[in-house]
Amino acid sequence: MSKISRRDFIKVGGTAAAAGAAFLAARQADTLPQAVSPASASAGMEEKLVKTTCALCPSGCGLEVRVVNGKAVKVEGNALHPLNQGACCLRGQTALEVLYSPERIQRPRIQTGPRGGGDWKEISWDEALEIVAKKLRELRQIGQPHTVALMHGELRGQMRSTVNRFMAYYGSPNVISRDSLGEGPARLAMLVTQGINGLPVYDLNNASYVFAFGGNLLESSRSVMGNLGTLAFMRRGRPQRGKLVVAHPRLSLTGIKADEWIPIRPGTYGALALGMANVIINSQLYDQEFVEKFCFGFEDFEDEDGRTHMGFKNMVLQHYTLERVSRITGVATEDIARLAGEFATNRPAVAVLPEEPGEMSYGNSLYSAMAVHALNALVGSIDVKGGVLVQRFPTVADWPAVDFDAAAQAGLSQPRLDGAGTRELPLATSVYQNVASRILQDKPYPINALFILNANPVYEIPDSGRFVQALMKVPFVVSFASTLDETAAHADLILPASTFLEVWGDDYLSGTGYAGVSLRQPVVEPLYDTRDPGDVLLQLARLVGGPLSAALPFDTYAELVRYRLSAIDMDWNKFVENGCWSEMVYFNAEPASPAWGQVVGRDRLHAPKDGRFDLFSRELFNILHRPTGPAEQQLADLACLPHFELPAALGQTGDELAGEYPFLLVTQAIITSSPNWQGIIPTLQECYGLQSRASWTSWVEINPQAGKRLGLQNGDLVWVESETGRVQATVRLYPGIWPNAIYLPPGQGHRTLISWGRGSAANQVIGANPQQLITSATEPLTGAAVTNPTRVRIYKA
Amino acid sequence: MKKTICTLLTLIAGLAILLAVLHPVTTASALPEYSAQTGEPCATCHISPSGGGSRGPRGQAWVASSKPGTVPDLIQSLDILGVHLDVDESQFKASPDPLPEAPPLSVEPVELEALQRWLQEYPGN
Repeated sequence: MSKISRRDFIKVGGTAAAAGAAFLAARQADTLPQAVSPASASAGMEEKLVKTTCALCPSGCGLEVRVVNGKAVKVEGNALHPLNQGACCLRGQTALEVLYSPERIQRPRIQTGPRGGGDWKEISWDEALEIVAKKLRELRQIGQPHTVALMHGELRGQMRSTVNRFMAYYGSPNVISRDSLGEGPARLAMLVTQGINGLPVYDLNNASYVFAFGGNLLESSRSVMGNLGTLAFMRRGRPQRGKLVVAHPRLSLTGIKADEWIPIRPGTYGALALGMANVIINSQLYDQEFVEKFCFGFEDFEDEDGRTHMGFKNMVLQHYTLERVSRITGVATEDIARLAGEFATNRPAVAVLPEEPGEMSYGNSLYSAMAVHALNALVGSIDVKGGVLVQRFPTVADWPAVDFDAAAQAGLSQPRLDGAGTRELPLATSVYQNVASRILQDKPYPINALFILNANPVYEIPDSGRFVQALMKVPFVVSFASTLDETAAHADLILPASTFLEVWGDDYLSGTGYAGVSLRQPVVEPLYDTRDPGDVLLQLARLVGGPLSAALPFDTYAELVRYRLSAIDMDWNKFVENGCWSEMVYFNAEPASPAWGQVVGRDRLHAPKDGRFDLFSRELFNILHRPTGPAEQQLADLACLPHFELPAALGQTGDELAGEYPFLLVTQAIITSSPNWQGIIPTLQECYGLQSRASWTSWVEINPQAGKRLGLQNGDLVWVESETGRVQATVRLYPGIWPNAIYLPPGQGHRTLISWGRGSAANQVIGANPQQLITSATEPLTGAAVTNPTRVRIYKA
Repeated sequence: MKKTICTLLTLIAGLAILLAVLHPVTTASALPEYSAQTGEPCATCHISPSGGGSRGPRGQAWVASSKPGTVPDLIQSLDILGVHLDVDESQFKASPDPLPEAPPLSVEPVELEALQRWLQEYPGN
């Protein structure tokens, strides 16, 4: 008699158990309410699903978190949320690792020894707030409120205006956002051409042809999940399939998923767009009715004094011939002509600008962005289905009317620390990368206190050593960090922020076109003695008193959010239950309709709100206007037209360096890097290189031809060196990279004391931070950071 | 003998899996027939382009109105779902009158402080 082997037993037993479970699950899925699982029902556990909003990237997707007995156990997408519609990306899935991270700072702490020394002492919130309030009161009393600065990263919903209001009523103009590292150029291009002070929204659902100039739509854009859904629909979910084309020096995940990848020399998107415009105009393929009736500056024109100005058409036809554009971009003339033809004849077509850090940071971002956006006007894709939409926002309740006192007025009349708004940088809203050098030079005045909120400038700005020096120079530094990042390590005081799963807040929907708000609500009680920075600001306002206290008369940040959103016609309970509210519908304004003025020209300050898209920017004409003679006229006109400026690394400066540093460094954010949290999320480290299969490290992508010349193989350890520094990385020979470009992923190379997931080696640095290779520079007019492409060389370690 | 029992058990288990797998299919509520009935692609009603799963506003409204022959358009759907937009659609339709002529380019004084305030007044996140 044969025995049943252990293998047979496991096979039969396992199969039967699986079958039983599957059968039960299938039956019960139909009969049980969604919120209660069979397991929890039988075990008598308390279970709930809480809807909130993700904060791990700028998209702001809706999340649904399963909470069992007060513990958050699983994160999924909120099916009712317009952006992600139930889907949840890899980053969102790791939200619980942020919440339950052992690296979180659990209560306020003060640095007792020298800054950066790591001698911390925990103190109570009352003590910590009193220390800060005392300092703020003192500075105000001696007429120095403007010497307080606040640097911040992404601020969502009401938080941005709360921070601005706090600083304004305190009396400081120095609210410095991280915008200059990323989204600035797209917003400014909208402003000086279309007259809208906002990021463009692209209706990818309805587009027939999508041309992405840079960026990584499916991994790191400001609407990753939205783009994943809409591009899938565009290409597979409707009878007529649309086409996606991506121009980038590197074949990213978006390029791989696209119909066509156009390899392009780094920093030359503007030239490609103008070359395409040349073909479209030459071939009479542009939307003649739209251009003639609803654009300004297409043809040469006369001003009120009878002087002739160059129009867009002549400028493009004279300067951006196919041959010249091909030489600049490295894209073949026949490809430029074909792409232009496809773009102009497969309408609605849309030319998409990137909004993530580094993607336009070539020193020519404003004019390149204008050139790309001009293509949308040429094919009449302004506020049409499948074109560029204008994001609408809900009307919120006005802040209480409070007069500024004399101290605040005096402080606000001072120039900004970062130089934004000066004659040299008139279009800059913030110049984040300038702060370190200005503090070190006491320009325009010494800074006495610096607050860091949701940002880590020591890590994310090139030449981090300089920022550390700047921090050491400021007498009082306060950080709101949740973990001990590089900047917080050099603070006097840390007021630890709760994570986004523990607080109330809101997010404006963006990327939809229509207005909406997404709710952030506590999924669990705060795990530690941490607070929402919004609550902390309100508490500080009360302690400082005077008009500041009157300007923010709310007991809690939750109360503030609810007050501001009370102007929206919605049921609050339904809002909490659904996690979001939106208008669901975008109405396209037809040209010359009464609503047309809301999508073209609405926000112009120095140009007519006449419903015309400016191919010759009248806003720039006035901002840049200087009395000129006839010889300078053409140059002055060029400054108002989209044009191409060669990045320094490709021009004369670059030529001088080319022998010693033959490669161009490009960076591009990926889905596994999360600003502020990258260093502490093990799952994201584990799957860091989805394409390269590298984890817990950095890799450097090199074209195989270049690799062959240098004798490099996959897996070789190399130094990547620039004039400012060098980092180590592992070679990945990758045909999907421009021949003399190399790629380093951002997000690694944190220098912290974090040890979670890193064995026992405290202070271990994982991977390389590309910022260590980059020299910081600032683009004229816009204040945008110039970080790409940096010239580097590679050699074996 | 043991082998026969083993085989029998495997067969029973396999049958159970088959039943479990087929069960949800027979009771699924997203059907291509609905697409044929309404003449709409799956994505009209469903969030997923290939159908099934969560429904968008039009799908929700279609179900809420007892699955008629046509799917209500978005505006009707919002009405059915109780989302009331205070929008005058005529404002979005082109006027028969053309835009007035663009004024000639002229120099306007720029106040940098006002420009800075204007730039900071971005309403979004």
